[in-house]
Amino acid sequence: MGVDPLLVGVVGMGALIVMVFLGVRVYIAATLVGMLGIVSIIGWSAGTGIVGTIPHSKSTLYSLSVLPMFILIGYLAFHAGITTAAFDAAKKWVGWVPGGLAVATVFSAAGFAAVSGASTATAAVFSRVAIPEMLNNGYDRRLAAGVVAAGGTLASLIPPSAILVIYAIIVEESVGALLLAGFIPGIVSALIYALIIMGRATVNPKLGPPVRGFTFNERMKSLPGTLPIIAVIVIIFSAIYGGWATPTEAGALGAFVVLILAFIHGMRTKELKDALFETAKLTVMIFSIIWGVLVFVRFLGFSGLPEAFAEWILGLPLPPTVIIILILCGYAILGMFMDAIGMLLLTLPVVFPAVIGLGYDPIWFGIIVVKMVEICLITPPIGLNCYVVNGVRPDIPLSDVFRGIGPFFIADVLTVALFIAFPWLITWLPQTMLN
Amino acid sequence: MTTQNIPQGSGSRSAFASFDRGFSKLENFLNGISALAIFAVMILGVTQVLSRKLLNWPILGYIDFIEQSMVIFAFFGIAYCQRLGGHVRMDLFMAKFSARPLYFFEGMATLIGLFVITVLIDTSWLHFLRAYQLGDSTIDIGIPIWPAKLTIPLAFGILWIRFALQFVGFVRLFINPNAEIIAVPIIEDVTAVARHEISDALGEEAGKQAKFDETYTKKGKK
Repeated sequence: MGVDPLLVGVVGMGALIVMVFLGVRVYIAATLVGMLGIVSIIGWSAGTGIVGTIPHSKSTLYSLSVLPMFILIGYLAFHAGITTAAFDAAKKWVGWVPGGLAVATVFSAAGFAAVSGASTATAAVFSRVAIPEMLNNGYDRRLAAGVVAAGGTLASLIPPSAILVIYAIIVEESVGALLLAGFIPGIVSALIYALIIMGRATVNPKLGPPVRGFTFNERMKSLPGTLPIIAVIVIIFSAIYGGWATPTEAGALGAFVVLILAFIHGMRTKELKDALFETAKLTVMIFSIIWGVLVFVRFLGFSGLPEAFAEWILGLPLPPTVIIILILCGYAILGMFMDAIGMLLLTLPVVFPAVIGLGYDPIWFGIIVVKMVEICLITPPIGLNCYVVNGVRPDIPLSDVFRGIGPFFIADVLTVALFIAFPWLITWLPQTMLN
Repeated sequence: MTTQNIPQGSGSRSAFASFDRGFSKLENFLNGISALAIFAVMILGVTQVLSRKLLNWPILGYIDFIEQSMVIFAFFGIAYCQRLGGHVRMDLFMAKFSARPLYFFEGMATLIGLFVITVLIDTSWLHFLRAYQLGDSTIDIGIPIWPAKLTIPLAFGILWIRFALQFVGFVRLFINPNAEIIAVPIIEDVTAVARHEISDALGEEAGKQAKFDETYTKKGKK
C-alpha cells in the first residue's frame, strides 16, 4: 500500500491519546485506532476480518476466567465479617507497640487484602472499623485517616489481585507467577508502613499511644476470627504452588468459602444479588478493555512501533536505572489522570518491550508498575482512597486526610526504591516456588 | 476515572424516555444472566476440584464448558455497563467543559462508538458464520463453538442500540442544554465516584450517608 507502518503506528498512538483525552471510552478508542491502523496497512477486508475475530478469541481464554472469581471474593469479603475480626486480632497482638492501633490497621488491612483485591473497598471498610477506635484512644486524626487510606493500597499487591492478572494476560506472563510475586512486596510495604508509624509514635507519643492489657488467652481467642483469611491464602497459594487447582478453581473455592462465611455472618440474598451484579459489571468492563486493547496491540504488531520504541529507549545515553525511574515517573503523572486498569493497558504494549530490552524481569516490572499505580490512589489531585475515607468520616476534613497520607507516600517511594535496588525481593518467591 | 450514571431512567413520559426505560430492563436482565453465569462458574469450579480430588472423577470437558460460557460474562453486560458509564475513560478534561461543548464531545464519542460497533457486528457475524458453516467445535468434548460466537454480534447489537439512544440523548441536550437528562450517563466528580465505592463496599445506606469535604471541589468550580 506504500504506507510506512511505523508512521501509521506513531499517528495511531497519537490519535489514541487524543481520543482518550476527549472522553472516548478506552475500549472503543483502542478498537477504532487498532482497526483503522490494521486496515491502512493490510487493507479493509483482511484488516476488519482480523479485528472481528479478536473479541471472541481473546475473551474465551481460560486463564481470564479467574477475574470474576477474584472480583466476587472482594465484593463478598465485607459481608463475611473478616475486617472486624482481623482488626481485633491485630489490635490484641500488636497494639502494645508505639502507634499500636495504627500498626494493627496496617496489618489487618494487609490481611483483608488477602481476600480482597480492591483498594478503595479496603479503605472504605477500615474507615468504619479502625478509625473510630483510633480516635477513641486519642490517636491523631491525620494519622488515623492516613493509615486507612494508605492501608487500602496493599490490596492490589497481595493476592488475589485482579490488576496483576490483567498485567499477566497483556504481557503474556504466568498469572500464577505474578500472583505469587505480589506477596512479599505487599508484606514489605506493610512492614515499612508499620515502621514509619512506630518511629513517629516513638518520637511523639501523643500521635498514637499503645494499647496494652490483653492477656495471652484473649490474644489466642482472637485468632479463630482470622481463619477465613488464612483459608483463602492457603487455598490460593497451595493451589498455585502445589498445582492441585488452576487459579480459576482456586478463586472459585476461595469465593465459595467467603460466600458461606458471609451467609453465616448474616448476609441476605439481596446483598448477594448486588455483589453478583457489581461483579458482572466490573467483569464486562475489564473484558471489554482487554479485547479492545488487544485489537490495538495487534495493530502495534503490524506497525513495528514497540520494537522501534524499544530500540530508541535502548539507544538513549542513560543507564537503565535512570530510564526505568523516568518511566515510573511517567506512570506517576499519568496515574493522576487515569484509572489504573486503563493506564496499564494503554501503555504496556509499547513500554513493556522496551523495559524487557533494558534487561528487567517482566514479573518484577509488573509489581513495580502496580505499586506505582497504587501510589496514585493516595496522591492529589484525585487520590480516590482519600476521598473514600473522607466520605465515610466527614468529620475528618480532606486536607487532614491528604496531610495524613504524607508519611505513607514517602514510605511508598522508599519501598519502590528498595525494589529497584533489590529486585530479588520480588522475583525470589515466584522463582523458588514455580521453579 | 470512570463515570457512573444514576441507574434509574428518567421519569419523563416522552416516547424516548419510555423506550430508554424499557430497554434498560432488557439490559438489566442480560447483566443478571451474566451474574448468574459467574455464580455458575464458581459452583462448577468448586465441584470440579472436589470431584477430581476426592472422587478422582473430574468433570468431563470442564475447561470447554468454562471457555464457552465466558462469552456470557464477557459480553452480556456490555450495554448495561455502557448505560451506567461503567466503561473506563478519562473525564478529567471533559468535566471542565460547560454544557454545550460537553454534549458536543460526548455526542462525537458516542458516534465513534456507533461506528466501531457497526463494523464489529458485521465482522463478528462473519466470524460466527464461518464457525457455523465449518462446524467448529471444542478440542476436549467437541461442543460446537458457533453459539458462543453468535453471542457476540447479538450482544454488540444490544450495545449498538444503547449507543444510538445515547447519541440521540446527547444531540437532544446539545440542541437544548436545559432539557431533562434522558438516556445518557452524567459525568460525576471524584466525590461521586468515592460515594459509589463506599456503597459497593459498605452497602447503599453508607453510600447515601457519605458526606464530603467541599473545600477542594468548590475551589475547582470557581
